[in-house]
Amino acid sequence: MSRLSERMARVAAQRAGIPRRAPGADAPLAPAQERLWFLDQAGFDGDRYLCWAAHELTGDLDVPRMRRAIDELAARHEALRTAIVVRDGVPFQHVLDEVEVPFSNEGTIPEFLAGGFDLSRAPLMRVLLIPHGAGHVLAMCWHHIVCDGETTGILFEELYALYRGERLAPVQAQYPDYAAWLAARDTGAADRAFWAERLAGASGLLDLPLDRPRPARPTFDGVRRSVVYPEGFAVALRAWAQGNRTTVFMTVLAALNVVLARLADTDDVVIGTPVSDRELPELERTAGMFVNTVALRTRLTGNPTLRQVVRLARETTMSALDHRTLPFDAVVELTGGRRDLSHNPVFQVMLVTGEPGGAVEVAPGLSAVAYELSAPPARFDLTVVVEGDGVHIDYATDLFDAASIDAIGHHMVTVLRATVADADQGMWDVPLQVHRPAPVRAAAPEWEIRPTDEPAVITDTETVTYRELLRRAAALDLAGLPPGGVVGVRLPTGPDAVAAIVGILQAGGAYLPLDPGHPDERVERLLTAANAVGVVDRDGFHPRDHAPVEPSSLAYVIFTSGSTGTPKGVAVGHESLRAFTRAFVDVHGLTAADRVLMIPPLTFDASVGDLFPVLTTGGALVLHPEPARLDADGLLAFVERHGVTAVDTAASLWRRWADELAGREIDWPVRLMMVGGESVPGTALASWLAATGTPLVNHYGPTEATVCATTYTASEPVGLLHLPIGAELPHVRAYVVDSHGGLAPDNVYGELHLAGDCLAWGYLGQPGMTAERFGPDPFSGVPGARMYRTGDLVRRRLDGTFEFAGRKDRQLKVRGHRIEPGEVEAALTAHPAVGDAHVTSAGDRLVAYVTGEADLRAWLRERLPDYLVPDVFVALDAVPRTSHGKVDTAALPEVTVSTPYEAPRTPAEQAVAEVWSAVVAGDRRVGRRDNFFELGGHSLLAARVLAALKDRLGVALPLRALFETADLAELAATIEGTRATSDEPDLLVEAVLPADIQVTRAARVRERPGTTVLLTGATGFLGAHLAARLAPVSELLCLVRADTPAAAEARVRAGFAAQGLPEAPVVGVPGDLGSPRFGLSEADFAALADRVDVICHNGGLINFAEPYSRLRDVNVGGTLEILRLAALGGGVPVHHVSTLGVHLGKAYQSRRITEADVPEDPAGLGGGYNQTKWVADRLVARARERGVPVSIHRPARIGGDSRTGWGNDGDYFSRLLATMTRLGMAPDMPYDEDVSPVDHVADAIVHHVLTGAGEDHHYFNEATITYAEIAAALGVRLVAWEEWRAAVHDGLPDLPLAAFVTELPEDRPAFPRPWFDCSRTRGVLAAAGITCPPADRALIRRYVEAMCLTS
Amino acid sequence: MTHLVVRNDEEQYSIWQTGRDIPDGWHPDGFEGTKEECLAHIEEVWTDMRPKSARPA
Repeated sequence: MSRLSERMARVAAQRAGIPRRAPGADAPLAPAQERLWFLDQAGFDGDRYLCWAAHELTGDLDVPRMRRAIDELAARHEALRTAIVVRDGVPFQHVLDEVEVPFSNEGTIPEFLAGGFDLSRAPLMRVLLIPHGAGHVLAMCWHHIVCDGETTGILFEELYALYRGERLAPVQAQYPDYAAWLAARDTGAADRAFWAERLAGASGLLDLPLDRPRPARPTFDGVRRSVVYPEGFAVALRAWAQGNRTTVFMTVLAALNVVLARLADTDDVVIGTPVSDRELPELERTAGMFVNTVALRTRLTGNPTLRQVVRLARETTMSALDHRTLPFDAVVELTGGRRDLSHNPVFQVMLVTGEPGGAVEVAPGLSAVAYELSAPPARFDLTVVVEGDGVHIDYATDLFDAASIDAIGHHMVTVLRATVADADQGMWDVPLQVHRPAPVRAAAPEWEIRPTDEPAVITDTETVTYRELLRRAAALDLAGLPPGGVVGVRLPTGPDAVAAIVGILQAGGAYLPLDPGHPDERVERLLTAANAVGVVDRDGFHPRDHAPVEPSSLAYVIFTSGSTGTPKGVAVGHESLRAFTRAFVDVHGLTAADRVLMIPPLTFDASVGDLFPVLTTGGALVLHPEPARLDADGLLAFVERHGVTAVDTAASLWRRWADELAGREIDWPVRLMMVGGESVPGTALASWLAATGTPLVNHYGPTEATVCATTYTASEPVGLLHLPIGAELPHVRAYVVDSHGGLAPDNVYGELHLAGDCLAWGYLGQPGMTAERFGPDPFSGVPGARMYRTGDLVRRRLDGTFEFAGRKDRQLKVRGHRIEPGEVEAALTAHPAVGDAHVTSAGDRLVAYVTGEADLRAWLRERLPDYLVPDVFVALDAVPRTSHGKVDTAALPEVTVSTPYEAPRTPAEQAVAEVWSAVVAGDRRVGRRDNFFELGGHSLLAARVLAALKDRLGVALPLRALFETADLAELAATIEGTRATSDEPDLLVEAVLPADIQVTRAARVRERPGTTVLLTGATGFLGAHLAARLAPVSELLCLVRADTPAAAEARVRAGFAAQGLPEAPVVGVPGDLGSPRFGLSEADFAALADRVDVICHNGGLINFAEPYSRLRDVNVGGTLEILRLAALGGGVPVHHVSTLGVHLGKAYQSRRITEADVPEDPAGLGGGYNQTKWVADRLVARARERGVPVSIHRPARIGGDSRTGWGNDGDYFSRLLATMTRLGMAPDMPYDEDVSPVDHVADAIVHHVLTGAGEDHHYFNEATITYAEIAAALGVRLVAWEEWRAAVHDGLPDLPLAAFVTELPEDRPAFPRPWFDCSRTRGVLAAAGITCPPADRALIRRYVEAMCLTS
Repeated sequence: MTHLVVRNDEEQYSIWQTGRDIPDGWHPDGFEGTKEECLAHIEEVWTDMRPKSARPA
């Protein structure tokens, strides 16, 4: 359909108008609502999809009148009375005739905004009106499913009109009618075709320069920065837009395109913008969710002028608006491919136009002005808000620092001003903020080496004075060398080699260092290439035949192996050597008192950085015979022996020392540690500084720029993955050049070019290569200046230092992420089983070739951001390499991007395959290596898949599980909690109690009457019962995950209600067991320790599918934090709720276990849950030895309330009973079932909490029940195992038991549990009048009856 | 895309993209061609690597 006919069709549809649906009829959800509903159902993001706005009211406010106006507002708009109801799995909008809008006049705005909404309950709206300053703040909050930004404006306006008592015209079209009308329209196909074509080939991720690596899961924390236009510019901008027949929005969009293109060095930019689908006039004043997002993709090929970019932006916007009704999620679906949750799909930068809010008059004597609420969550990397007077940028603090955002804001203003001033300049030609380096200093003076009796070269075997060094140099008798004549030095690093170099230079020659270990033939080749006139070896100087020498001021020639593998002789003149030497002496503050340990061999130009700075200042060079073998202790002894003040070494050797010294504290004479050659990890620096206190200087520089071009001095740890390479030395100019040959703005990646007084002459005998790498310098203004293209990718940070980002020719882009393969390779080869690795890309996949271990995903996930973890691993016997050691890419096996079909193997894989096939793949065959998104999955379907998997396997996976797993097999492994890659924990090591948990002071003397109890896990099943009993007799503090105390209390109250327990007052303590100090500040944690008299630790994650590692933080870490709290409080008694499951290890099978038996042996404990509970149990027991009074309570199976039958319907035993009832049969099992009613266990634990800690207690109800009795109680048949098994298999997945069981074993299972003899616990409790009711037919019947009542 | 062979007063050679402003102090030596052709030309004509200022007066 052409665009014209499309428009005509749309207009025709509009004329028809929106019909009113049948009175009282439910309406379907609009597509945008559907997405929000799924996100809510998936338990994902619910709280982030709120709309809110607030006004500050000043003047005479009539609060009851305002309340009435609010209710009238809800009466006007169906959206404000809408609940989302579900019938047969399909959601509908159900409108209530009347609602009461929750209205509160106390609390704070953060509290007001903290909670979500239950979508099944109308209204999805609440109001807060609180005193503020001299007036009030009125805040209204809605779920996004019934509201959007425009709606909030409409509703506030109408609210005030109603408050004034005005009569409003009836709402022309109600939202549910719009949704019903929309469902009947079909505009999808044309829109789909447009978007598929429009976004084809877009990378999906704009590679903005970030301040921190992108986390796998964003926190969505956001902050706003603003840039105000210069005086008068807003007017000039509007005038320019009008004069060029465009709008300010288009001009700003164009400028944003230019800035983003230049930041990411790309010509393809996608920006999102919100659009409202209120095309019909009757929808203008309708409340509801109308907003959609469109992706504006602009191709900026070449170097278009700013005027052309404005035109492109206009074209992009107009065509996008023509297709704005297709929901953005459907657009995302069209782009296909794999996705990750680390960023918004399709675009990461949002552009919105804001409206500056002024004061409005609500009623005579009452005015309102917008009240700024906290920053909205940062759903995008950047949200650019354009207002009349400037630009605001809301940014994700995960990714950016404020200074970088300010720079982006200034770039925006710069480009906008350039547009107004001269729109015909190229977009790449607009100068953006670049660091201005200091001018290069004048030429350095000649230096000399003076004959003193001070030591010049020190080794373990001799100390050579300057006088002696110069004598040995003179003894070589090199007078008569042609100026600049090259002489080889074929000597081991030592005093004689240093003397030879000095002698050659003093005779006017240039030296060529040679490795004495290299074969004659290679040495001869280098001497010939350099046209050497002779060579110095052990026996002195030997002249050799050579071509005539043109006299010059050449200082040395050093051969490097370049990227081609052919050695290149880099020729450096005295001018550069002098300038470098002076710079190094100054920067490092070298004096005659320094003794510098030189580790690099003479054949590396790093040695030049030691030789001349030291010898010309009169210090001493210290040499070690075998530096590569120096370990940290060897180094300490060596520097002590020789009084070394500075060490110069390769970063790799230094890292070894840093590792070995980690955790130690040393005192030594070294004041300066200089490293170079490769990147320095931030973590190694931190441990180095902690151990030595010696500043680290990072040197960077290619041989072509004479040893070192930039230095970074680190005297304190940096929060970076790698140390910066620093700023340029005074004689160096450094440029970051973009792909268009201009200067890249600060913070933006580009290729480093070096210029100034640092350059080599070039490559001996290779003028072509020299001309290519040393180009004209267009930036300095110095006539005829050259600059050296390093091939290194860097950016200049805002502090002026450079960050190194790898070799330019090895950079990969995979799904928009910039990847430095060397970083991945380094992480791979750090694995002890990996010998060699090579990383490259194939299509949109990252591929790792490795020798040794094949699948290293888990290893890498702990060390690298997700996007750096390869998608494909290829195991090789050896990585093929050329004779020069470079990877022979042609010899690597090809990676086929489409993977062959592999049938599902395990039951979990089978289940996932069936769900994917049904939900995503249109019943196509799905294999183990398939990827959810490549099958056509998208976020809506993800929610459905997770819901189906939960039904099927009873495992509630987080939405991110689908994104984080590479294929079906990996997802299934996650579900089984047996990820083959995660190592089994060493439980005995885990159970070692940290030394800091120790009671070191007396408990405080209590001043207040009564008892203060801290309870964890109060929202759980047993926890609710404990809380309900403790709250009336104590001050009960409940540690609950929540944002505010009020929210914490609400969660505890919800637990009471769910168990039919009476309300009781509790004090909410918001905190997280899985965080250090529960996430409390040090002061709050200490205050809590002082406040509590006794702790009942019952909280933890109960999940039988997760591995140890995922449960550890909460179940083990949380217990440690409880013990820390108890120790801090001077030994607060702890009652720890453990489980008899800790005795289910092999060692205790079929044995008698009493309270005196210690579960010391965890061998054979299955599943992460039991493992964490065992470790926690042991840690608590050990805290007893450190002075904390503890009681460990170990319940067995806890059943429902013996009086009401109310229980935990989701647990295994309830589901087993329900399944038996459903099937009308019970299996004849060879063991009895035990069950202790929750009221009994809670009574018992509470009794001990209130009377004191010390002993351990076991709660196994020895009055067990046989399966025959269960069958009788339920009135079902007792059947053989085979029959039961067949019936269960037939009935899965609809049976309640499906949550726990995917397959039953063929043979009737036995249960070799220990014999739990709990007579001691029973005796103690009986004395207190607490007895456990038997697990008998009556109890079972009560349970089943309660289940029937509740379901 | 073609390049020019350029030379500075130090008698050092390099190449420069045709059509862009040649930086100060660099002069075309008259050869223009692809990058490879320019570099091959330089292999021929640049016989003395010494910068002019590094040669004895």
